[in-house]
Amino acid sequence: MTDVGRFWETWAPYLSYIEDNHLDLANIEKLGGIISDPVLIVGAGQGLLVEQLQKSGHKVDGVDLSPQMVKYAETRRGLKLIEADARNLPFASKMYNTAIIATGVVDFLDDDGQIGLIINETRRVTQDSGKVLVAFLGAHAAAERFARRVGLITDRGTFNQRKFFELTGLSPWQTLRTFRRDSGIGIFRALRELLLAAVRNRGNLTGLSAVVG
Amino acid sequence: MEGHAEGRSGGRVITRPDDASVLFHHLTDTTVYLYDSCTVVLLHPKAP
Repeated sequence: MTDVGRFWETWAPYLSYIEDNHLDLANIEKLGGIISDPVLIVGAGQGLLVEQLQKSGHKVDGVDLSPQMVKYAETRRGLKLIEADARNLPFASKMYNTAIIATGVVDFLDDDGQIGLIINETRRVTQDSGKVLVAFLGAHAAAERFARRVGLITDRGTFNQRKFFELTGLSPWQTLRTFRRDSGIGIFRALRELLLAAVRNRGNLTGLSAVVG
Repeated sequence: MEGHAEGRSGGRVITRPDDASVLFHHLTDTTVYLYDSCTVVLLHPKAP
Protein backbone atom coordinates (compact mmCIF):
# COMPACT_ATOMS: atom_id res chain seq x y z
CA MET A 1 0.00 0.00 0.00
CA THR A 2 1.18 3.53 -0.74
CA ASP A 3 1.92 6.17 1.91
CA VAL A 4 -1.37 7.85 1.07
CA GLY A 5 -3.15 4.53 1.49
CA ARG A 6 -1.55 3.93 4.89
CA PHE A 7 -2.43 7.48 5.90
CA TRP A 8 -6.13 6.90 5.19
CA GLU A 9 -6.11 3.45 6.82
CA THR A 10 -4.96 5.17 10.02
CA TRP A 11 -7.64 7.83 9.76
CA ALA A 12 -10.50 5.48 8.91
CA PRO A 13 -11.90 5.18 12.49
CA TYR A 14 -12.02 8.99 12.79
CA LEU A 15 -13.17 9.95 9.30
CA SER A 16 -16.74 10.68 10.37
CA TYR A 17 -15.42 13.78 12.20
CA ILE A 18 -13.83 15.28 9.10
CA GLU A 19 -15.39 13.73 6.00
CA ASP A 20 -17.81 16.56 5.19
CA ASN A 21 -14.96 18.86 4.27
CA HIS A 22 -13.31 20.29 1.17
CA LEU A 23 -15.10 18.44 -1.66
CA ASP A 24 -18.08 18.23 0.66
CA LEU A 25 -21.86 17.96 0.40
CA ALA A 26 -22.25 21.68 -0.30
CA ASN A 27 -19.63 21.74 -3.05
CA ILE A 28 -20.81 18.55 -4.76
CA GLU A 29 -24.25 20.15 -4.99
CA LYS A 30 -22.72 23.18 -6.74
CA LEU A 31 -21.18 20.80 -9.30
CA GLY A 32 -24.50 19.03 -9.86
CA GLY A 33 -25.09 20.73 -13.21
CA ILE A 34 -22.02 19.21 -14.85
CA ILE A 35 -22.29 15.69 -13.41
CA SER A 36 -23.87 13.08 -15.68
CA ASP A 37 -24.30 9.33 -15.22
CA PRO A 38 -22.76 6.94 -14.74
CA VAL A 39 -20.44 8.49 -12.15
CA LEU A 40 -17.27 7.14 -10.58
CA ILE A 41 -15.80 8.61 -7.41
CA VAL A 42 -12.12 7.85 -6.91
CA GLY A 43 -11.09 8.13 -3.26
CA ALA A 44 -14.67 7.69 -2.08
CA GLY A 45 -13.71 7.30 1.59
CA GLN A 46 -16.69 6.00 3.53
CA GLY A 47 -19.17 6.95 0.85
CA LEU A 48 -20.37 10.42 1.87
CA LEU A 49 -20.51 11.72 -1.71
CA VAL A 50 -21.59 8.40 -3.21
CA GLU A 51 -24.57 8.34 -0.86
CA GLN A 52 -25.42 11.99 -1.56
CA LEU A 53 -25.32 11.58 -5.35
CA GLN A 54 -27.35 8.38 -5.15
CA LYS A 55 -29.97 10.24 -3.10
CA SER A 56 -30.09 12.81 -5.91
CA GLY A 57 -30.88 10.01 -8.36
CA HIS A 58 -27.43 9.48 -9.86
CA LYS A 59 -25.94 6.11 -10.74
CA VAL A 60 -22.66 6.11 -8.82
CA ASP A 61 -19.78 3.75 -8.08
CA GLY A 62 -17.03 4.51 -5.59
CA VAL A 63 -13.53 3.15 -5.15
CA ASP A 64 -11.08 3.59 -2.32
CA LEU A 65 -7.58 2.29 -1.70
CA SER A 66 -8.17 1.66 1.99
CA PRO A 67 -9.86 -1.64 2.99
CA GLN A 68 -10.95 0.01 6.26
CA MET A 69 -12.74 2.81 4.41
CA VAL A 70 -14.60 0.28 2.26
CA LYS A 71 -15.61 -1.65 5.39
CA TYR A 72 -16.82 1.50 7.17
CA ALA A 73 -18.83 2.54 4.09
CA GLU A 74 -20.79 -0.66 4.39
CA THR A 75 -21.30 -0.58 8.17
CA ARG A 76 -22.13 3.14 8.32
CA ARG A 77 -24.10 3.56 5.11
CA GLY A 78 -24.80 0.13 3.68
CA LEU A 79 -22.76 1.02 0.57
CA LYS A 80 -20.72 -1.49 -1.42
CA LEU A 81 -17.64 0.45 -2.45
CA ILE A 82 -14.81 -1.19 -4.36
CA GLU A 83 -11.31 -1.51 -2.90
CA ALA A 84 -8.99 -0.42 -5.70
CA ASP A 85 -5.82 1.49 -6.50
CA ALA A 86 -6.52 4.59 -8.59
CA ARG A 87 -3.51 3.73 -10.74
CA ASN A 88 -5.09 0.44 -11.78
CA LEU A 89 -8.86 0.64 -11.76
CA PRO A 90 -10.80 -2.63 -12.16
CA PHE A 91 -13.09 -1.28 -14.89
CA ALA A 92 -13.34 -1.52 -18.65
CA SER A 93 -12.40 1.55 -20.69
CA LYS A 94 -14.95 4.35 -21.16
CA MET A 95 -17.43 3.02 -18.61
CA TYR A 96 -18.22 6.31 -16.93
CA ASN A 97 -19.53 9.64 -18.11
CA THR A 98 -18.18 11.54 -15.08
CA ALA A 99 -15.20 10.63 -12.93
CA ILE A 100 -14.52 12.62 -9.78
CA ILE A 101 -11.18 12.33 -8.01
CA ALA A 102 -11.94 13.40 -4.45
CA THR A 103 -9.66 15.32 -2.12
CA GLY A 104 -7.10 13.11 -0.37
CA VAL A 105 -5.91 11.47 -3.61
CA VAL A 106 -4.02 13.64 -6.11
CA ASP A 107 -3.70 16.56 -3.70
CA PHE A 108 -1.91 14.32 -1.21
CA LEU A 109 0.83 13.57 -3.73
CA ASP A 110 3.66 15.84 -4.84
CA ASP A 111 5.05 13.36 -7.37
CA ASP A 112 3.90 14.49 -10.82
CA GLY A 113 4.56 11.01 -12.21
CA GLN A 114 2.19 9.37 -9.74
CA ILE A 115 -0.39 12.10 -10.33
CA GLY A 116 -0.11 11.47 -14.08
CA LEU A 117 -0.72 7.73 -13.61
CA ILE A 118 -3.91 8.39 -11.65
CA ILE A 119 -5.16 10.98 -14.14
CA ASN A 120 -4.47 8.77 -17.15
CA GLU A 121 -6.14 5.76 -15.55
CA THR A 122 -9.17 7.85 -14.63
CA ARG A 123 -9.34 9.16 -18.18
CA ARG A 124 -9.19 5.58 -19.50
CA VAL A 125 -12.39 4.59 -17.70
CA THR A 126 -14.16 7.81 -18.73
CA GLN A 127 -15.95 8.26 -22.05
CA ASP A 128 -14.25 10.53 -24.59
CA SER A 129 -17.02 13.07 -24.24
CA GLY A 130 -17.13 12.57 -20.46
CA LYS A 131 -15.78 14.74 -17.68
CA VAL A 132 -12.88 14.21 -15.29
CA LEU A 133 -13.00 16.39 -12.19
CA VAL A 134 -10.04 16.57 -9.83
CA ALA A 135 -10.47 18.04 -6.35
CA PHE A 136 -7.81 19.74 -4.26
CA LEU A 137 -7.76 20.90 -0.67
CA GLY A 138 -8.64 24.54 -0.45
CA ALA A 139 -8.72 27.32 2.05
CA HIS A 140 -10.07 30.84 2.31
CA ALA A 141 -7.63 33.47 1.03
CA ALA A 142 -6.77 34.53 4.61
CA ALA A 143 -6.01 30.95 5.60
CA GLU A 144 -3.96 30.46 2.44
CA ARG A 145 -1.90 33.58 3.24
CA PHE A 146 -1.25 32.19 6.70
CA ALA A 147 -0.36 28.78 5.26
CA ARG A 148 2.16 30.29 2.86
CA ARG A 149 3.77 32.44 5.54
CA VAL A 150 4.20 29.57 7.95
CA GLY A 151 5.46 27.19 5.27
CA LEU A 152 2.41 24.94 5.08
CA ILE A 153 2.26 25.78 1.38
CA THR A 154 5.70 25.97 -0.19
CA ASP A 155 6.93 28.23 -2.99
CA ARG A 156 6.63 25.35 -5.46
CA GLY A 157 2.96 24.92 -4.65
CA THR A 158 3.17 21.84 -2.50
CA PHE A 159 1.35 21.28 0.77
CA ASN A 160 3.42 20.24 3.79
CA GLN A 161 1.17 17.75 5.57
CA ARG A 162 3.68 16.98 8.30
CA LYS A 163 3.83 20.64 9.29
CA PHE A 164 0.05 20.80 9.19
CA PHE A 165 -0.33 18.04 11.74
CA GLU A 166 2.44 19.53 13.88
CA LEU A 167 0.53 22.83 14.00
CA THR A 168 -2.84 21.27 14.77
CA GLY A 169 -1.31 19.66 17.86
CA LEU A 170 -0.20 23.02 19.30
CA SER A 171 -2.06 25.32 21.68
CA PRO A 172 -3.16 28.69 20.22
CA TRP A 173 -0.25 30.44 22.00
CA GLN A 174 2.29 27.91 20.71
CA THR A 175 0.81 28.30 17.21
CA LEU A 176 1.21 32.07 17.40
CA ARG A 177 4.82 31.75 18.57
CA THR A 178 5.60 29.28 15.78
CA PHE A 179 3.89 31.53 13.23
CA ARG A 180 5.89 34.57 14.38
CA ARG A 181 9.14 32.64 14.29
CA ASP A 182 8.55 31.15 10.82
CA SER A 183 7.07 34.24 9.17
CA GLY A 184 9.30 36.89 10.72
CA ILE A 185 6.42 39.36 11.13
CA GLY A 186 5.46 41.34 14.23
CA ILE A 187 3.29 40.01 17.02
CA PHE A 188 0.20 42.12 16.24
CA ARG A 189 0.25 41.36 12.54
CA ALA A 190 0.88 37.69 13.30
CA LEU A 191 -2.07 37.62 15.70
CA ARG A 192 -4.33 39.36 13.17
CA GLU A 193 -3.43 36.96 10.35
CA LEU A 194 -3.73 33.92 12.59
CA LEU A 195 -7.18 34.99 13.80
CA LEU A 196 -8.35 35.78 10.27
CA ALA A 197 -7.13 32.39 9.05
CA ALA A 198 -8.83 30.58 11.92
CA VAL A 199 -12.14 32.43 11.57
CA ARG A 200 -12.31 32.24 7.77
CA ASN A 201 -11.35 28.59 7.73
CA ARG A 202 -13.17 27.45 10.85
CA GLY A 203 -15.43 25.05 8.96
CA ASN A 204 -12.43 23.09 7.78
CA LEU A 205 -10.71 23.00 11.13
CA THR A 206 -13.56 22.16 13.48
CA GLY A 207 -13.67 18.46 12.68
CA LEU A 208 -9.91 18.12 12.64
CA SER A 209 -9.60 19.77 16.06
CA ALA A 210 -12.13 17.31 17.42
CA VAL A 211 -9.81 14.48 16.42
CA VAL A 212 -6.35 15.93 17.01
CA GLY A 213 -7.20 18.10 20.00
CA MET B 1 16.40 10.67 4.58
CA GLU B 2 14.71 13.65 6.19
CA GLY B 3 14.30 15.34 2.82
CA HIS B 4 12.83 12.17 1.36
CA ALA B 5 10.37 11.80 4.24
CA GLU B 6 9.42 15.45 3.86
CA GLY B 7 8.71 14.89 0.19
CA ARG B 8 6.49 11.93 0.95
CA SER B 9 4.46 13.97 3.38
CA GLY B 10 3.67 16.65 0.81
CA GLY B 11 0.82 17.24 -1.56
CA ARG B 12 -0.19 19.55 -4.39
CA VAL B 13 -2.08 22.76 -3.93
CA ILE B 14 -4.23 24.50 -6.54
CA THR B 15 -5.27 27.95 -5.42
CA ARG B 16 -5.22 29.75 -8.78
CA PRO B 17 -6.18 28.72 -12.31
CA ASP B 18 -2.50 29.03 -13.32
CA ASP B 19 -1.56 26.31 -10.80
CA ALA B 20 -3.84 23.89 -12.64
CA SER B 21 -2.29 24.78 -16.00
CA VAL B 22 1.17 24.01 -14.63
CA LEU B 23 0.21 20.70 -13.06
CA PHE B 24 -1.87 19.49 -16.00
CA HIS B 25 0.38 20.92 -18.68
CA HIS B 26 -0.17 17.94 -20.97
CA LEU B 27 -3.80 18.95 -21.39
CA THR B 28 -4.94 21.74 -23.66
CA ASP B 29 -7.23 23.36 -21.17
CA THR B 30 -8.73 23.20 -17.72
CA THR B 31 -11.68 24.85 -16.05
CA VAL B 32 -11.03 25.67 -12.41
CA TYR B 33 -13.81 26.01 -9.85
CA LEU B 34 -12.46 27.84 -6.81
CA TYR B 35 -14.48 27.37 -3.63
CA ASP B 36 -13.54 28.43 -0.08
CA SER B 37 -12.76 24.91 1.06
CA CYS B 38 -11.65 23.19 -2.14
CA THR B 39 -10.66 23.67 -5.74
CA VAL B 40 -12.09 21.43 -8.46
CA VAL B 41 -10.34 21.19 -11.80
CA LEU B 42 -12.29 20.03 -14.85
CA LEU B 43 -9.88 18.49 -17.33
CA HIS B 44 -10.45 18.98 -21.02
CA PRO B 45 -9.01 16.36 -23.34
CA LYS B 46 -6.08 17.22 -25.54
CA ALA B 47 -7.15 18.03 -29.08
CA PRO B 48 -6.22 15.24 -31.55
